[in-house]
Amino acid sequence: MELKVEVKGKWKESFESLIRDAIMDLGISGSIESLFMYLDPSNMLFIMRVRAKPTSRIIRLTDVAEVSSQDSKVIVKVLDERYSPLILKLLESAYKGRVFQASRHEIVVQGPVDKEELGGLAVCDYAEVVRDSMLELVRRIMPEGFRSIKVLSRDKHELLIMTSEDPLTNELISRASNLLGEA
Amino acid sequence: MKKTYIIVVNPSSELSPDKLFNEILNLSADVTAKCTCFGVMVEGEEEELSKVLKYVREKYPYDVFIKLRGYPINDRRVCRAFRGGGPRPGFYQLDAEYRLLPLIAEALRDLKLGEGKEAKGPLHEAAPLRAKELKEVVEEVLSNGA
Repeated sequence: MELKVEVKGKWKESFESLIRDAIMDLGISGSIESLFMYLDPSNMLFIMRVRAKPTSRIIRLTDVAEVSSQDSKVIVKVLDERYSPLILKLLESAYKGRVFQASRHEIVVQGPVDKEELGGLAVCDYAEVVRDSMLELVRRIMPEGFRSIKVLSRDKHELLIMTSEDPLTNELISRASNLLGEA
Repeated sequence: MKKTYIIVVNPSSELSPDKLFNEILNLSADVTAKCTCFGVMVEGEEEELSKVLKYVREKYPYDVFIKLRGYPINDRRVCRAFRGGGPRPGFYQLDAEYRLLPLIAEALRDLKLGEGKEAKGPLHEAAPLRAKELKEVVEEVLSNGA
């Protein structure tokens, strides 16, 4: 991953470390192609560009959960908790009224169920997970008080975002766009 | 012309300002957004704002309430940092409206469910408690060992 951090003043190393930790924590370290961050605390400007690798992979239920059958029910043990809401939604729509969450990681589907068919259900596209994580990544890194946010551009693989504590004037937006163009 | 709207999240809904904020940032709308404790503020040209407002109104008909704001986001004239602290102008009005939102949402739901039916009465009518009733309540509570 190509990482470029510009900070007016000190704390550049701290931000580099924070970015690496946040990427690791979100589990997308292998999916980020490059990241550029610019912070000017005295002028209240924070800019970030995140580029993801153009990958697309359908995540099946068996990729993120263990599926086992017992008597006349199927037990789905979620291995990656990030996917729990998606799995619950998916199972509820596929097996309406027969799904209940037995514990934090266990979901039970009652009645006759084809285990193979259930295991092969598509939970989501990994590209969408990375896309959502990019915004979460920015929100974890940006300074606490910089609460005005503007998404300058966004597509499936790239996110350009600027934040500030001051009003986002046209002047500030064009400055951010110039900095992103130069980076 | 640029406008600023406050999108207030109904406190009794399961929607959180943070979730709404993320959804707004995920829309392809050229707006500036700010997450606050009561909801989200959005600012931009009318055409771009209408994309956001249409989306939230359709997706959360009973969970969000929207009103126009007189000042841009982070405007120094109403910013507490530049006014020496204290509640910002308009806070008490917003706070009073915020408390009413669960009841308004409930009424709107009833209105939708009861379309074509006779309107229901108010949820409860407020009336002063009579001294005799208050005495009964006190006696009942005390007799329960409270």
